[in-house]
Amino acid sequence: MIREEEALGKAYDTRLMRRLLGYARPQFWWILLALVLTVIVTASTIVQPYLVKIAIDNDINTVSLPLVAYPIGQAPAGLPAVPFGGRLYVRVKALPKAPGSNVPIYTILAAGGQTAMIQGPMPHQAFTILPGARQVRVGSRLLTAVPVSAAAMSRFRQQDVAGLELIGVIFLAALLLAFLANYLQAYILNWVSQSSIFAIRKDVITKIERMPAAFFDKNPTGRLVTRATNDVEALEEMYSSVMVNMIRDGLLLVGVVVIMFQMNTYLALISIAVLPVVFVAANIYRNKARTAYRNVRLALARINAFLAENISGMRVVQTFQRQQAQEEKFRSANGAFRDAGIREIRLFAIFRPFMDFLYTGMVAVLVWFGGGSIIDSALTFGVVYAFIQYIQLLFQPINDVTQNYSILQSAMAASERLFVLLDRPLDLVDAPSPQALPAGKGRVVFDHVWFAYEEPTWVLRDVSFAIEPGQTVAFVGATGAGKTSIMSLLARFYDVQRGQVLVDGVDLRQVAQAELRQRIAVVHQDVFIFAGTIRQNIALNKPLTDAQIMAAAQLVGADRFITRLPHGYDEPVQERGSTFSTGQRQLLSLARAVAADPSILVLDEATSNIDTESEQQIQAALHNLAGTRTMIVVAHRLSTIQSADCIFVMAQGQIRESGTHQQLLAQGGLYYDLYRLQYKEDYDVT
Amino acid sequence: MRHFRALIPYFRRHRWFYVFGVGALLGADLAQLILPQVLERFVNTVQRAGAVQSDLWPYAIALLVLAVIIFATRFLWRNFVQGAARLIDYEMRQDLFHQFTLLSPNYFNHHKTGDLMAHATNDLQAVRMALSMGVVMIADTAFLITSTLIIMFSTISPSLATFALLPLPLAAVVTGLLGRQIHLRFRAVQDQFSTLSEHVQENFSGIRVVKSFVQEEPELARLMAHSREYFTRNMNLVRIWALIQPLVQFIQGLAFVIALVYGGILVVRGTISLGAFVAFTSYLGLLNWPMQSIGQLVNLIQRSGASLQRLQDIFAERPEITDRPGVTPPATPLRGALRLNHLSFSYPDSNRPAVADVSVDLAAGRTLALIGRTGAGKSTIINLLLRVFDPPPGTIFVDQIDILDLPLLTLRETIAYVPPDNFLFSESIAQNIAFSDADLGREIVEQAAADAAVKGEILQFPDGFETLLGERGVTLSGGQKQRVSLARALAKTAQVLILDDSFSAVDTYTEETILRGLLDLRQNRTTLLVAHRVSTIKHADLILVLEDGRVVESGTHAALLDHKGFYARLYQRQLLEDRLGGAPEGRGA
Repeated sequence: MIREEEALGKAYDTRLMRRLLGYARPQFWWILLALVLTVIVTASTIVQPYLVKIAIDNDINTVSLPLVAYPIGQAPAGLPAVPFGGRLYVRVKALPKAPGSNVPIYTILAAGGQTAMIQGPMPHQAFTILPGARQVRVGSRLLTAVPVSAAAMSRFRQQDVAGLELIGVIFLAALLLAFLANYLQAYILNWVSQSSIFAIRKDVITKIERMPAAFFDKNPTGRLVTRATNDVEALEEMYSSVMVNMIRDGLLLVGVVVIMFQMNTYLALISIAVLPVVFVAANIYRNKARTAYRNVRLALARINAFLAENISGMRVVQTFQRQQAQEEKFRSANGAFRDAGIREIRLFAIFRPFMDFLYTGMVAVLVWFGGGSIIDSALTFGVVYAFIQYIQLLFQPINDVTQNYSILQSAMAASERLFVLLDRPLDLVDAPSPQALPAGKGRVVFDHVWFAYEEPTWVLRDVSFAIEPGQTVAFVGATGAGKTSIMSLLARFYDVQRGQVLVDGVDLRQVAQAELRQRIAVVHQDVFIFAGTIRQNIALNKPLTDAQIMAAAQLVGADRFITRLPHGYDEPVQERGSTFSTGQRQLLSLARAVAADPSILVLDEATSNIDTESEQQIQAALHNLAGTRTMIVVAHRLSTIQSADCIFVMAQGQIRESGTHQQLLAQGGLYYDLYRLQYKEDYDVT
Repeated sequence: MRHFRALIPYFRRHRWFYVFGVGALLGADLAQLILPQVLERFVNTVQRAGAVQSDLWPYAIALLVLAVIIFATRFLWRNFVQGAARLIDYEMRQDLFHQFTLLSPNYFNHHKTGDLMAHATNDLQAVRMALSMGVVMIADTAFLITSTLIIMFSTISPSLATFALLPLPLAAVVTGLLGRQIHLRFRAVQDQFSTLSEHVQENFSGIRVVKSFVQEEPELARLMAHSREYFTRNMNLVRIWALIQPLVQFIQGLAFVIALVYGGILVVRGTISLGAFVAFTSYLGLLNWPMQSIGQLVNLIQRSGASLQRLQDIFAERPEITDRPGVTPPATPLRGALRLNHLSFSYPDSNRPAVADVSVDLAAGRTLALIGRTGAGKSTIINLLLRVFDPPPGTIFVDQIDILDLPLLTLRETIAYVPPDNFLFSESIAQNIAFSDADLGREIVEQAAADAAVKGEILQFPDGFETLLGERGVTLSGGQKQRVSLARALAKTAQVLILDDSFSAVDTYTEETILRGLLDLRQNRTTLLVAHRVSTIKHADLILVLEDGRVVESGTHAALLDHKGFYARLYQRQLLEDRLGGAPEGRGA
């Protein structure tokens, strides 16, 4: 039996994971493409702060970069040279090689809304530009300066604006690329995910469909439906996000660390010093979160169980006037759920803000150390800015991990249940090389058959009988006497414990189930109508001609109501055939059985719930069919079976009497009593 | 939106949680808003020629202080707001269960258990989300967006703010437009999921027919077609849905590019400082989350509004069966005399009378039996007597008092009842038997079990009376359940005992033993027996034979046999059936 209870095992189970990934294998190339796209997205994410760094260092924060001067016309070709005061100025940074120490350096200073050029590098102390911008005071010294007009400034910064625009274009291109890659990746991953769960669902439904009848006795339909629907659905996010998210997070982590080291080893070392703390914290959180999550789920399961029970048993609660007592009991289950929820909140309320704390703390650390390096001119500002951005990216995978973790956890729980189901042996399988049934006879033999749904409650005890081809036999007896069990064994829904059941001399266990069931048509008590048309319901996917279908319907007398339908044989029928009366549905299912042209036709209480008119029709139909094939009828109305070649009277899992109607009446036994009683019941009641 | 008014009383009860929680949340937001200001000043300081490292410590310290404040305030709002939501969730669920206990069985006949459970879990969860994340998003979004905008426009640069924020409304427009489509396609996915579930359900319940006609393969193909359609609709949804996040990110990126280029140019021109530029990009970053959450917020409010409406519908349901105003318990305890006075009754959704003109007078301490086919009206009479449904006034009397004039509590305390479905709870056997009063002594519980002829079997279980029943415990057989249910009624001290078809799964011998015991036990107490089997009722003082809601024969066993009517035939038939011997607990029918 498969238990509904939320079994919360490990959040990650290699064995389960491998099987789950196996379902995604047909999409291997798509996954690979998604990975490539992920790399693009990640690269774009990582490159963005770097672009900002370039913009800051190369374009925005460049006013005071050292310059060298060339006479007009002598500046190196292809370099941005700005004419000012009769000379051309080129940034030192732009030169292919650093100028010699004897080459004079010029610097533009900006302060208090004035700009002035001095000869020499940027002063290390605070400075002020004196009014008129012809002198700059640095400490106690006065430097000679040349005022730089606004127009000249904009000439000097022309290259920066152009640079900014270029970076803007590159940035935009990166964004666009990321957008496309992101969307495509999401689409592909969802496609992979949906394909995988489609495949799993197919396996699950197919497996359930192939399970023997006994399996359905033990597992409520609702539970099986949950397996095929919700449990499979729980895997969706695992495929669509977790699978690639983990790789993306890893890439992001590595990428950020690499670029940090590439920019500045000192700050990179300081930055990654926080990682061990983060990992330890995340690990502690993960362990605690697992317990907290489990407790919440368990408390919820308890609430659900309590509600299910008390809602369906509310009548008992009310007639015993136990409303308050049950409310108190619910209060404790409900309270446990609340408390488990609050513990989960508290845990999360520490973890997430702690990560925020670490991030802001790291910004403080970067401000201190990075700022110091800027002052020492060991670093540019853009690098520090980029580090602050990268630190933020560093925390993203950590925060994702917690989300991925809970998705994984529920996926693992669901897949555990699914694989338990998929791994179940089929119990009742065809023999490795099944024997073929000899063509078209229909001889049935039960040879000392003992059968129990669950031992040792024997439902059939040592039952033996033989039915010759073309005979019509009937089984009668009280409810629970074993009549329906005989029919189930004949269709091999179950295997016998002792003895054997033979059709045309072959033990059923040696016959392929499909072949057997093509030989035997069973008309069940509960009629099952397939969605489709009347025609489809009679033919049931067999290549029957219209004439054959109509002949079957005529034979059982179903054509009369069918031809009166607006679309006749093409009338669409609802699931469960709810638009038809019980009698009509039964006639339909009888027509279906006849159309299958079986050598053995079984009617299991097929006339139980119908009105007299329909019953007479069915009886006429049976009369038509008699002699053409072996017919086995279970009925509790004796009138249906009087013309049978042989009647078996069953009691307590055994055949007590057998013979024709007349013989049994003459015998004066159980059948006689039964008949007398029913006759009275049917015709005598006032 | 008006559905949210129902939350006001709960809100009010926990208002301080919300006041402190939202206060802490705004505190965290404030700290976040100060942070770029610190960065701005830091940047401008390091930019200044002649700055030394010791100039930086105020900024580092300020950031550390902000880090601590952010940690503390976020810790607090999560606890306060989400904690309050949990408390309200708990209270609403308790109130909902209370409401369930008030509703009449008729309500439960018309509402599926699964649906009612979903209200108590899924719907409440949606409401809880609105009460926690919904409140947080509203406060957060409103505060962060307005204050960020104010700061951007007033302290940094109105023109930069204008240009950089230009793309952001686009995000709202796009998500709004796509949102509709997504909603429709999402509905289509859900519908197909239901369709698939229904077909799977249908197929599994008809599996025997499927198998006997070898229809497994065509049926699988059909199910797979539904599954394939589900796949297709999902991909249809994904096609737009997967667009949202990348698009919003792109639009946010666009705003950032504008800030970078235009803001950079402003720095180049000397219009704003580098520090202000850094602060501006930080503020822009602060807008990302609120922009993304607006879509979620709308979705959340819609979903929780729908959930709240469903909950409201249940709370608005008035119990059908209640005490009449002003009823008081009788001065002396009821003795248990029963009178039915021309009792007729039709169920609410039927116009055919289930009981028609039934009259009977039964002195206290006597035994009355009702017998008849399924649907003859036996259980209806019991249901009316228990006021599962209310009888018409003046038709049912206990001790000459109309039961409508008795408090429900008094009436039901007077009656011990064995329901036909033998419903037991997933608790220990002892707890089940002591259901009427948890404080019942062990002797009474065991005596009741002995009287119901089930004590021996209970003691066979390893845990005896402490054996747990249900999913996590043992599964009792039908007969055992029936007898534990009987013991539960016998353990209750009541003047009237009702056995509604309580021996159907018990063999004749055990039934005889129990009944003989009951005769002694029930002297001076009224007993009502409902049965299909004559053997159950032949000792009754009065037997009513019901047919289509009417009494067709009445009298003692002997008198009815002499009458040679329906009852006599039934008796004959059952004698024969006993000979044919259908096993009572067998299956395979």
